[in-house]
Amino acid sequence: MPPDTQPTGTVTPEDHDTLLRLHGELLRVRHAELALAERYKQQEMRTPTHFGVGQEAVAVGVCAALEKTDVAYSHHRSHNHFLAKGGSVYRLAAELFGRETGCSRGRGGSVHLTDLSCGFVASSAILGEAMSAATGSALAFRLGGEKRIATAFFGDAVAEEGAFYECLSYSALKKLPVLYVCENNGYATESPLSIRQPEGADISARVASFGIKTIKADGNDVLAVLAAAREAVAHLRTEGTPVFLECATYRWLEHVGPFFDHELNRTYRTEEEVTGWQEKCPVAKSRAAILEAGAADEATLDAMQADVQAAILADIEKAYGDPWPDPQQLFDNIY
Amino acid sequence: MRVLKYKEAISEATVQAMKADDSIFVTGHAVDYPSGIFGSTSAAAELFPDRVFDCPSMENAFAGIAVGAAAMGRRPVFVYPRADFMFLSFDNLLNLACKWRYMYGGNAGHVPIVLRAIVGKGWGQGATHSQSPHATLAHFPGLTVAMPASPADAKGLLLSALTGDHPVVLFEHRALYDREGEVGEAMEPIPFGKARIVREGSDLTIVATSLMVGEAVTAAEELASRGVSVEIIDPRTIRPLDEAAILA
Repeated sequence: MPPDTQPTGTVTPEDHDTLLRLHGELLRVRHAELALAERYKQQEMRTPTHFGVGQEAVAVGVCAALEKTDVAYSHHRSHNHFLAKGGSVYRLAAELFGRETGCSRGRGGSVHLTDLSCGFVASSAILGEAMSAATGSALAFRLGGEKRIATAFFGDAVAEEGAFYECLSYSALKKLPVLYVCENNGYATESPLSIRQPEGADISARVASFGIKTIKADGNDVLAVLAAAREAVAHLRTEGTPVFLECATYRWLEHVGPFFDHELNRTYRTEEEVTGWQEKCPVAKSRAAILEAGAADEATLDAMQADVQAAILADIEKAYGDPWPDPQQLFDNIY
Repeated sequence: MRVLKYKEAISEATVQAMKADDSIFVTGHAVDYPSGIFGSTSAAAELFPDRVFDCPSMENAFAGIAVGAAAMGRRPVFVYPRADFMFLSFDNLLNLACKWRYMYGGNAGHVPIVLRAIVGKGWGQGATHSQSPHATLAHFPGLTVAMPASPADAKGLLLSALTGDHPVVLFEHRALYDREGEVGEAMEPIPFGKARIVREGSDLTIVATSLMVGEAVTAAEELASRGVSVEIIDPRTIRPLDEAAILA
């Protein structure tokens, strides 16, 4: 990696390794989600699933700036973060199939993922919990004098929860090394931001009033997210105080489930709006940046994608063939 | 044996456990004030000023903050000077802390958070400062609900909570804080789910917890004078509940 220059953490076109590594991660997350969504339609994954297609650059860019020993928490749309932090497609797929080999032994389902070995502590379906738990892990790091960072990924609707403000106030007060990553995709289920928050609402501006450092980034540009995340991480490691990173992005598929909204005749957003955001596809943008920088040619990138897709399909098939949990262990971990 | 007040027994358990385990910290509103939660945290605050600290009014997020700290190996003790404020914590407590071990298949480790909730009933405390939501909480798998009635139980049950591996709520009745009783000096946890037979009797069994154990003893003495022999059982924890002792 070249030394950070202004603006902090920017990836230069010369940094071909970084460009290709990020692209590989984007491909892995994107094609895992697409393949899982396709398989989901067969009704063999009996778990409400919120696919993150379209939002990959946020997870990939942020996790690329973190160390393995840093921890992350996520929300209901959690696959992107689980995979980007280092979780395996195989264990994710096994979890969705309800298999014993799933990351949560088939008990959690799509919204309750964990893999402590890579620092992905937990995802949870209730808004605000990821933020609270990450703040608590940061408190633990502060108390223990550890130089680790706790990260919470959450959506714009969390800014409507009380816990959001409690966490901001507390982390600012206690100077906690917590990175809050808000994926602002403009919708909470099917409710647009315009009917949920006051006109002209600026979540980052609200957060800044707590004295917390805020950064905004284009959530569909993995290089922009990485640059912002590196700036945040540098601040967290030196100052040790919280950072709020707001990334504008967009989910392509329905709130929960594998289909496009227009396929189900939903009207809360137009097909044109979705198409407009698809033109800002983070994977396509990354590919274009690589070609422009001369880091790889079309054929190499096509081969890279084919390899990633083949590995994902093999992982999903392997997971599908795994055993169910033993009924005798139904009450494990209940007391 | 040595006699301690209930609040002194809580204080002693806290100090002993904190000396034995650096990962324990105590927070909650006013835990480090000189008054120290009616004297139950002042000794710990003096001995461990870095590990006993005040907390803003944020019961909702704090239950989740405690979970996140516990997931990283800390043992948080969160004190509610009034149990009524616990309702604000129910999401992170019931949806996250209690389900943690089950819903991650045991793969996300343990979150041994300890919640001390003081029941304020008495002295005109009114509708929102007098409640004890123990029965409600006892419905939730993944949570231990302890109801210490004596100084010895207050110490032993808190020690179990501070050395165990899952979430525990202890309801401490404010009216018991100055009650005295024999308490051993050693650091001896009392296991959860083991009832105490407070009084033997053959005609009738009264099952009572917390403040009502003393009330039941008064009633049993009155009934004894009328020729009725009353057994009193204090389950000590209502989840898990020692059904064997009660049904025996």
